[in-house]
Amino acid sequence: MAGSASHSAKDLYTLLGVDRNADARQVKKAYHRLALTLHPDKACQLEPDTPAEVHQRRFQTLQQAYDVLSDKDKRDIYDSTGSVEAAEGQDLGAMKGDFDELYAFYRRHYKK
Amino acid sequence: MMKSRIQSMPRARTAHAGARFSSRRSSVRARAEKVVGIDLGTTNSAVAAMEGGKPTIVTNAEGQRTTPSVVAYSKTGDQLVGQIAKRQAVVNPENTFFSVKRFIGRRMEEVTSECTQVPYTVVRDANGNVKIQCSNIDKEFAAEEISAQVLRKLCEDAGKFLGEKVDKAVITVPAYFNDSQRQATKDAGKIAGIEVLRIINEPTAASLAYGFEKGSNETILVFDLGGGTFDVSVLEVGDGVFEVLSTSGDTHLGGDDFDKRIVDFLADDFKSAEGIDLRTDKQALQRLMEAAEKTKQELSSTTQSSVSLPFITATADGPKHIDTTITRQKFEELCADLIDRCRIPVESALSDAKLSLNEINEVILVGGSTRIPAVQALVRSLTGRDPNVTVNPDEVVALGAAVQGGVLAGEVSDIVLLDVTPLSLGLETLGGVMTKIIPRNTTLPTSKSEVFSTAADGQTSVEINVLQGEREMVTDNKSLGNFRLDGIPPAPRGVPQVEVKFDIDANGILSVTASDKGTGKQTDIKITGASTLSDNEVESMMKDAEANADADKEKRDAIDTKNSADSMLYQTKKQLTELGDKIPEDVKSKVEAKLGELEEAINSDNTEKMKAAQEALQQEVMAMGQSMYQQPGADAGAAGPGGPGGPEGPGGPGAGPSGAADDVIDADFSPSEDKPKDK
Repeated sequence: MAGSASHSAKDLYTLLGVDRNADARQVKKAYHRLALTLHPDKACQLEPDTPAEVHQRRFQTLQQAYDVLSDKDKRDIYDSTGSVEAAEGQDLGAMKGDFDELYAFYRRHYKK
Repeated sequence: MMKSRIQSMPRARTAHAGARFSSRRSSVRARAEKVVGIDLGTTNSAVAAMEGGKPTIVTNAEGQRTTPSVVAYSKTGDQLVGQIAKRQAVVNPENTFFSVKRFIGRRMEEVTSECTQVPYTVVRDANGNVKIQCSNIDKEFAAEEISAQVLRKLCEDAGKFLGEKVDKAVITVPAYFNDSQRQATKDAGKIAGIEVLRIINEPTAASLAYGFEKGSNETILVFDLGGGTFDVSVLEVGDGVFEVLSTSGDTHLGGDDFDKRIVDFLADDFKSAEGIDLRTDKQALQRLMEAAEKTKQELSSTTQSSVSLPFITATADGPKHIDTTITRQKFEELCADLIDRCRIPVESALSDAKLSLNEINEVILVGGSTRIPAVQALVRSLTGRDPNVTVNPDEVVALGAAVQGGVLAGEVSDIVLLDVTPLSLGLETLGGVMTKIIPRNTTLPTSKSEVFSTAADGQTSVEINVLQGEREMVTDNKSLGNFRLDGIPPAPRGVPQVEVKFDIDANGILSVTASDKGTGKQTDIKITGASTLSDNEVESMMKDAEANADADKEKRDAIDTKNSADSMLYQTKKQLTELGDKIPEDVKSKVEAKLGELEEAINSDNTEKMKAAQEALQQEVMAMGQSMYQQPGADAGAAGPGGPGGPEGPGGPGAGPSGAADDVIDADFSPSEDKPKDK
């Protein structure tokens, strides 16, 4: 139920802002860079008027994308199926199509 | 700071102007306030704050960089906190509470061995939780309340040092603390009147202090053996991101246990020689414990240490003494199994982080017990490298907490901490098995939803036992409480769908919410069997503590006033005698009249009267000073110090009538006066 919308337009690579054949180090770098603005401690200072749950959901979406792409086995499954659920081997309750929202957030803070 | 101001400015002019404005004001104010970092240790605590962009240790009122986490109540009911409480432990063992961190957020059955190791009385309350008995004021305390008293002192002292009120803090806990222990620590802060902005893990805090200002990318292992707990965390530090990869530990292992081994050794030895078990004598036990701690510390730098405890007890034959020597080798033999226990968490932290030893760049030692040579040797043999000794193991945790305080206050901008939950969270399912929902080492904050239904027709409530731990069976894990969902509309079994959401916030603290998927209605949750205080209890303890603090402040004020009144009386009298007939008679009699009033106020022990009399005397003394300078021949140029010189009064420098200080004063006072005459 959760996945259908989530990887329609933006896939996990776009989400992390890395190339499809990015190596592990590049994935990690990208994750660190995004964490510096998306972690609720930071995000609530950048966008103080956005509710805390939204910050938390965005961060968790980033976290799940990183979990898949940083684990070789999960990444292989994701690459061949295009499905986050298949990669994680379970239902993803929290990933209800937040990708667009998340993408918009870090576009705002990473224009430069 | 600039950024948030610019962002919220235009909004202040919108229709919601009032509300927006107030929120903007509060956010600006929040940044101006000091956030301190507090290492609330089992045996000692420390406080740090960001000063000039760097974390700095804040010394306490006694001038020390750490404060013993000890609270005592004297026979007269006075509350003592810190060094002063620790010092009187031998004569007041039943009312001196230390190592309460071992009891915080615990149920009685979890701490049966700890209870026997302390000379004060630990009892079980109606809910099965731990309470500490204080005979001197005939009261039962929760461990949270004792910790709150330590926190209150730490913040008050920090406030004096920093020159501003301190009521916001980041408090550290062992990484391996479970939900109840974290919640209880947060409650302790609340009882102390402190807003706890964040609970962070001790090894993580240490890494923040270590990696702060360090640009390089490193994978580090923090080995934190404190007074009562042991933690291991593996972190990756780089690009300003402090990412905890894994955490492991043992919440029943620390320096206290090493002391206990020495105590047992000495007591067993004494028992076989004299037939007396010193452990049953609370005073003797307290002396043994202090000697053991000292011996342990000495054995970190010397290879043998003598233990001398004269008059430890007495028999019909007369007084008995302990006079012996313990070698480092003997100590290591006594503690071999404890030291060996440190091995497992290191190994499991590494395997959870999916790292091998050669991928670790640095090993950082934290906690006083890592000074023990055998512990260092173990670290060396486990990791195959010399541990980093550049950080002070007693201070680094508080420093790191201050850095995180800076991050939360927006003072430190280029750092973020990604911490994990140390223990898996799950639910009890059929057959007494735990089903994991959020696995350990999941990055925080995180949340997860589960859908529940009913098992019988017309059932209107569901009970969920929430568990934390790594074991398969429910009974081997910690139950965080039974969450009961009420108000489910009656329906055939299996039809209602209640979605329960488990949130673990950045503090590592769980909150549970439930909603009926059919009606969208929030379902009530009642928690029973938790080893933490209810909101009402916290509230009433907070009021209690505040009332006590007010009473303490009054007492303090009374003592301070009396002291200053005494000293003023003495100084003024001395002045009068010294100056003798240089003072005009009418001035002198006025001063003497006020002196008499002050003396009377002191004798009647009336604080308010003392304050008033001091003020009045001050006026007369100043008048006296003025009259002295107006006399012919006196140095008119120095009229200044006699006047607004204020609190120094007659004893203050420069009050002397002679022109002795002429050359020095010359430059300072030249704008208000011509050149002094005698030049």
